[in-house]
Parts: sequence; structure tokens; C-alpha cells
Amino acid sequence: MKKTKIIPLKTDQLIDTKTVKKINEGLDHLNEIPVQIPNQLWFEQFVIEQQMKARSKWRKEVSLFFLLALTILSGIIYSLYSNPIIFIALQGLAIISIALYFIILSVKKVTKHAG
Amino acid sequence: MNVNKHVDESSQIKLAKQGDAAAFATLFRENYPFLVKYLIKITLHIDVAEEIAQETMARSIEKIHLYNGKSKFSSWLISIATNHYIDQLRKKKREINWQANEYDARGLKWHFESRNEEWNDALNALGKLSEDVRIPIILKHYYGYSYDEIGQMLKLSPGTIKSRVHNGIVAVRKELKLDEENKNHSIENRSTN
Repeated sequence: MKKTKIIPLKTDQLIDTKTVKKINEGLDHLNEIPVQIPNQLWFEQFVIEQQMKARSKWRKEVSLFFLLALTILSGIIYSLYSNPIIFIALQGLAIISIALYFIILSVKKVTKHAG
Repeated sequence: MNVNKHVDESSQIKLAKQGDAAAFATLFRENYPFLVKYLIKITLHIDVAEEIAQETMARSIEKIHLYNGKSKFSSWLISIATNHYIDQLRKKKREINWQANEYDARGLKWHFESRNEEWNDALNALGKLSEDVRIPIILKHYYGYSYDEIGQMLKLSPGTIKSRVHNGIVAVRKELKLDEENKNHSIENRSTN
């Protein structure tokens, strides 16, 4: 039978402490790399630029949301007045899709926990 | 002095939340070296660290309303930076193979050697670990964050962080051959006794 080597816990902890010390020494070494800090003006310009980007991104997203909502709503209203059967079918389809979504989600959760 | 700094920081954060660009700039300028140095440690690449630092600042501008002041501003920044770096790696892993990381560590090694500075074996060993393991080790043992805090940063349970740190330390130990070194020392001691 193959003999397994048993290292006493104290020695093990000692080696771990030594390992951490070596890692920290190495990481300390990286602090010697010079970091060029841009000036206050650069940072201010950077912030203004990012704020403008964020604002235009928000505007785009809101417009897209309203456009999509308007399209869907017009479609629904149109189907309600022109063809009520299609409207009821759409409502049914929406309910089934939501139910299916939650069923698939719960099945996935169960399989994940079982796995 | 630290109290004054903290008061300054919290007033800057208040102004930043109102969209004050100068307050943001002051906060970033004060935390930039800390952030970049942290990123150099986890990425082992200077250019990547600077790139992620800029992207972190951009993200923090968008997310400043979510900062609740429970942790230091610098801790909040490194939490954003870490998650952003992990996201980037996941995206890049689909495109590039794992050898890219190996190349990164070599690049930093070359940086040290070109300046006639000593390269550390522990960094080599740390570079061979996956970032899932390397980051928790650095946050725990170098920066002194608790397992709970690291768990919150990385959105993982403290138990998972603890086991990753432990496994990482064991891997570095093996890489540095510290077990063998210790064994040789004890043999030497016994023979002299």
C-alpha cells in the first residue's frame, strides 16, 4: 500500500504564512512601477465627456422605449377595432408565453440545484 | 488628518452625486494611483490596468447614485474594476485562447528585466493561477479584506472565496516548492542535532 505523507498542522500553517509573505513581497515589488497621474483638467474633461455620453445614451434608450411602446400599442388598438379575434388570440398568446417563461425558469433552477 | 480626509471625501461624493465634474475629478485623481496599482496586481499588465482604470471611472460616473458610503470610495472603485475586468476576460476568452494571459505575465517580467530589476518567483506563481483564484488571494492577503467583503465584491459566497484562497495558496506553495524546502530544512536540522 502506498504510504501517504502527513504534515503536522503547525508546519502546514507555517508554510502557508511563508507563502503569503512571499506573495506580498512580490506584490510590493509591483508598487515600484511608476504610475503617471493625469492632471485635474484631464480628469474634469474626462468626466464631462462621460457625462455627455451617458446623457445621449439615456436619450437614445428612452426614445427607443417610447417608439417600441407606441408601435406595440398602435398594433394592439388596431387589432382590437379591426379584428377582435386576432386581439383575443394575441392576449392568449401573451399569457401562454409568460406562463411558459416561468415554467422554463423554474425547471432550470431545479436542474441547477440537482446538478 | 484622516478624519479631515474622510470629511473631504464625503463632501466631494455629495457634490459628485449632483453631477459636479470638478468633484468627480478630485475623487478620481486622489484614487487613481491606488486603482491602477491594484489593477496591475490583478491583471499583471500595465496597459490593461490603465485601460480598465479608465473604464472603471466611466462606469462609476454612471453608477455614483448606487454608492451608499458604507465602504471607502476606493473599495467601491476596486469592486467595480474587479467585476469589469472579470467581464472583459469572459468576453475575451470567447475570442482569444488562454495563452494571452501567459503573455501578459511575460510582458510585466520583461518590464522588470529591462530596468535591471529583480523579478519575483511568487509573482510568476501568482500569474499562473486563474483570475478567479488570484483576485481573492490579493484582496484577502494583500489588501486585508474579509471573506464577507470579498464575497460582496465578487458576488460570491464567503465560503467559495475561502476555498478559492486556500486552493490558490496551496498551488503557489507547490509552485514555489516550499514544502520541499521545509522538508530539506527539517532533515538538515535533524542531522545537525
